[in-house]
Order: sequence, then structure tokens, then C-alpha cells
Amino acid sequence: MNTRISVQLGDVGATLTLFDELAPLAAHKLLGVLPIDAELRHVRWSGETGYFLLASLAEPGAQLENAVTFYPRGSLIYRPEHGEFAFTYGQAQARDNVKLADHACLLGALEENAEPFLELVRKTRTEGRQPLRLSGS
Amino acid sequence: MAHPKPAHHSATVDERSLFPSRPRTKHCGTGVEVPDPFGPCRREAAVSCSHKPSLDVHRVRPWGQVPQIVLTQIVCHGMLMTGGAKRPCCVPPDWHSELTRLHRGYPMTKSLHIRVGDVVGELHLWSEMAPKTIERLESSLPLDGSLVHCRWSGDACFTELDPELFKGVGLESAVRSLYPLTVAIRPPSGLLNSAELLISYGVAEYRLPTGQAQVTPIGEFIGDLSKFRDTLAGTALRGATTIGLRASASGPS
Repeated sequence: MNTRISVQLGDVGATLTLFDELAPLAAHKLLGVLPIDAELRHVRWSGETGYFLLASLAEPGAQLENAVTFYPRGSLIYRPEHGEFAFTYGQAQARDNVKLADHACLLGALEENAEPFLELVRKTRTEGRQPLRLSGS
Repeated sequence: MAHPKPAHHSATVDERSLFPSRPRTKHCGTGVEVPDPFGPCRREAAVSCSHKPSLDVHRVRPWGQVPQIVLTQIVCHGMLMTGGAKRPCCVPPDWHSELTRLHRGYPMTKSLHIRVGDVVGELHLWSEMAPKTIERLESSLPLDGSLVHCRWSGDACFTELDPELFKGVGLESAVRSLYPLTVAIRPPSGLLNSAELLISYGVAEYRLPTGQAQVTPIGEFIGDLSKFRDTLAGTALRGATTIGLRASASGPS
């Protein structure tokens, strides 16, 4: 059974389903550090996505679970090499200053209240970073 | 205090490896050899220095009609450096701004006033490299817009331009890399009906969702470089800022 957690971005709340069966290790690691308070900011290389970093979950060389290169809209993406978690509101791909196409773990998907949440992620590009909180539901 | 013996040899070796086929000449009394036939280097500036007789900045233009590299050398009591290298002991704190100004050295024939957020400066235009693009840009002035951080291209910001102005211009002196504090324009082409003006502040390469792409470099920012860079970088955290371009009544300084 997939685990659901709560996410709060600015004044917009939503629920997120973690793909426990497809990415059990990554999901377990994330659940182990909840609750999380961070700041979501817009990416510079990967497209229409906002991200935050968790240094404690940075694990260079870790095996990727449920690997994707293109990020589905509304998804939660985990890049273990950076300890990076990203919410995607549009067209996006795992990229950085070196690689034009990399892979990342598709860890979860927004469910309830996804659209207002993604709209606020989109606004981080023009209005700046937003406070983010992830907690067990 | 005795000054160190001139360390000219290493720089000379570097230049020879860069331009092995060029004839060379000694110049400026520094003992440094530089490529010719584009003439000897000339003294571009003197930066104040606690030592006398001070610090000279020399510019060397080793390549022809469209210089790709301009070596800026600091000669200061035997300390010779190329632009961007480590700082010699007696260079004032603003040396990097001065060096950066001289370092790129593409031919500049015009300039515009530029304002990003509350930072003002000059945009020196490289008219020889992008004559049609710059002509169209100048015809669109004054320009005011919102400067937003790039999503795909790294440490760079962009503002949208009127694509009608740049239709049919195409790319000029096309590049993919966006060097810090240079300004570039991506004209409309193919399925891309928009046009953009881009300014980089760090590691950047022009990319689209479909992959790498090219732009036309048109000039460089001259002014308070660190403040300008901070303002551009700040858009990644604080969101969009404003940009304005105006014709320069006084011409290039």
C-alpha cells in the first residue's frame, strides 16, 4: 500500500502519495526524516520544476529506483546524488550543467489539491522561493 | 622590500602553445613576446598600485577580424599574469572589475545604458559580430521588461523581446556557451516564434527542452560587476526583476 504524506507550500496544502512498492528504499529514507521544513526554489537546468535539497539524504552513487529521465507533471522526483527533491509543474527532465539527460527516481505523485500546489511551484520562478513543509498525514 | 624577479617566462610559453604559428615580437619593454601581425600590445590602463611605477594592464589581440581571445596581462614589478589568474600582491581590490572589462575585448563600437533591478551600467555592443541583430535591437529602444531566471540554461536570466523585430535576422556569430555578464539574443526560428535577450552570471549554456541551441552574442555589461552578478543570481531565489535598455546619448566611454 502506498503511503500518503502532507505537503504544505506557502499557504497551499496538498497530499502526496509515495510509491513505496516502486521505490521502497527512497520512500523509506524520506519517511525517516519527516517532518521536513525547507524552501522550494525553481531549478535552473531541468525545466519546469521546483526543488529543495536535503543534505542528509544525499547519497552519491546510490542505485536508482523507478528511474525516469522525463519528470511527469505533478510528480515528486528524487535525485540521490544531490539529495534533491523536486515537484514538477510542466515539461522537465533530469539535467544539470554537465549532463543533458540524466536519470532520477520517480518517488511519488501529488493527489489532493494538486493544481493550486503546482501553480505555486510555477510561481517560484517569478515570485521567488516558498517555504515548504512535508509531514506524515 | 625587494620585488621578485620578473616571472615572464611562463606566460610566454603559454602564448606560444596557444598560437604556435604566429610571428612574435617583443614589445612594451616588458620582455613579453606576443603574437603579431595584429600589432604589438598596447597599454590599456594603469591601475593604482602601492608600488611605483605602478601596474600596467596590457591588452593583446592575437586573432584577426573577430578576436576570440584577448589576453590581458598585468605587469607589476615583474609579476605578469593573464586575465582571471591569481591576484598579484599589489593589485587593488577592484582589479577583477578592471580586468574583466579589458579581458574580453571584442571590438566595441556602440554602447547602451542598461539597468537591471537597481543596478545601472553600460552594455557595450559588439557591432562587428552581430550587426543586424544589434541594429534591430537599437530600433526597439527604449526597452523595459521583466527579467526572469532561465529554466533550462543554467545561471542566466532572460527577457522576452518582440519576435517581429528579429524575424529574418537569424543567428550571427552563433554560440552555445553564455559567458558571465555577456548579453545574447535568440531570434525566432523554425517553430520558435519567440525572441529572447539573455544575460548570464555563471555557468550557462543555451538550452531548450529539446536540447542545446545557439544564440547571437551582442555585448557585455560594463559597470559594477559584482553587484550586477548578485542581482542576476538573486532572481533564482527572489524571483523576477526588471530590465531596461536605453540608447546611450554620449556613446561608448
